[in-house]
Amino acid sequence: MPTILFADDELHFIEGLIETVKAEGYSVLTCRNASAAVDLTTSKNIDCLIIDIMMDPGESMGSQNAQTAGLAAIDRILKVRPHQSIICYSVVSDPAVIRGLKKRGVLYLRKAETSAESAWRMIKAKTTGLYRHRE
Amino acid sequence: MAINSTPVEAQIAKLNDEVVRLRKQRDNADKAKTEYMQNVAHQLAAPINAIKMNIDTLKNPRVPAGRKTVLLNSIYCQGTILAHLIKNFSFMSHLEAEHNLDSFREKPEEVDIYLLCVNFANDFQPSASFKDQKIVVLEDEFQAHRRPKIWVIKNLLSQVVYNLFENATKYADADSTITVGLKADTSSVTVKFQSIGAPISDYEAATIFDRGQRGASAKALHPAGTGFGLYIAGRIMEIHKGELSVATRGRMTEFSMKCPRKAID
Repeated sequence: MPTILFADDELHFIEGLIETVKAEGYSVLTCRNASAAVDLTTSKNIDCLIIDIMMDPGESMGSQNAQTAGLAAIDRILKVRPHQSIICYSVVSDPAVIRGLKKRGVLYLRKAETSAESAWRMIKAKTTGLYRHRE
Repeated sequence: MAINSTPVEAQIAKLNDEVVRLRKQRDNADKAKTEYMQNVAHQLAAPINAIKMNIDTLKNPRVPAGRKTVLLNSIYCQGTILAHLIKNFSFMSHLEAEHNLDSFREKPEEVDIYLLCVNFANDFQPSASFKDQKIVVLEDEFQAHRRPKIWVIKNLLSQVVYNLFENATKYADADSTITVGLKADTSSVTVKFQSIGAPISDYEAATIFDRGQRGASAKALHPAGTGFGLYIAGRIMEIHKGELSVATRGRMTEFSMKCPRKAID
């Protein structure tokens, strides 16, 4: 059963998506800060990480700016696991940030504009590797 | 400025300096305004998107009925929270002016403060559960004082209670308990919101009810925020001739909402 990690400081706002992923039979882990996202993704077998950009940096990344802590976490994870499947799920829509994520193979989904069904399809595609092949 | 400049040239140079200073001031104001608008947009969009996402999920036949009930409850609670969030912004203009209770269209009424706290505790519990937080309204303390009724504009006092719950659930530690208790004496009734979480320094405590103020720990934990919630809550208590205060000890924070008896009876 694939394992999805949701890293978001406001998990209650993505409850619907978490329920959708669980209903599809995937195992779900959650964490609320960037440090925990790095720790879990680099120590466990996470099939896909869904991470926000603006979040609490947490203990080991305390010096990071909370506005971009999710991006710093992605950098750290990709250094250790360059092929980790990651979806950045955020309301931050700066084109430069999105371009930077794409260059590193990170899929960007905008929170406000992605339905649960579409987000689920993207998660499934990223988890199975189908999305990467299409790229 | 040139050494042998005429008085006119000196005046022009001075005015140019002033233009530079004012432009800088304008740019800073523009930046602050943009940041504020982004924060407001984020705060309003997040619960709306959560509601949309939950409704979308309800259409999924694979989601079990039990979980759908939880999502429906969550939609209701997010709706309540969103309504109060919007009220915060609409109250801002009212509260800036020197208002008193008579300035408001709504009139004071008798409010059961225990019931108000329990209702908000129920509204915030679903989101608090994601952090394994418990919200406990200490019924015994309210009953010990025969569940005091207070004489207030219900709509305004609800906003104070909402803002204090929002603040507590947002900044309290995961796996902690937020307690709401009551103390009363012959002169006043005080509702106390106690939580353990983001520390507040003495300096921050002294300015926490100022407009737009947010503590360093609060900003680190939740970058998006306007710093209006406690300001509004404080102003509403002032209008009721009451008081909102904060006491901190390490990571423990206690907000006290004090309503004088003379304004109540």
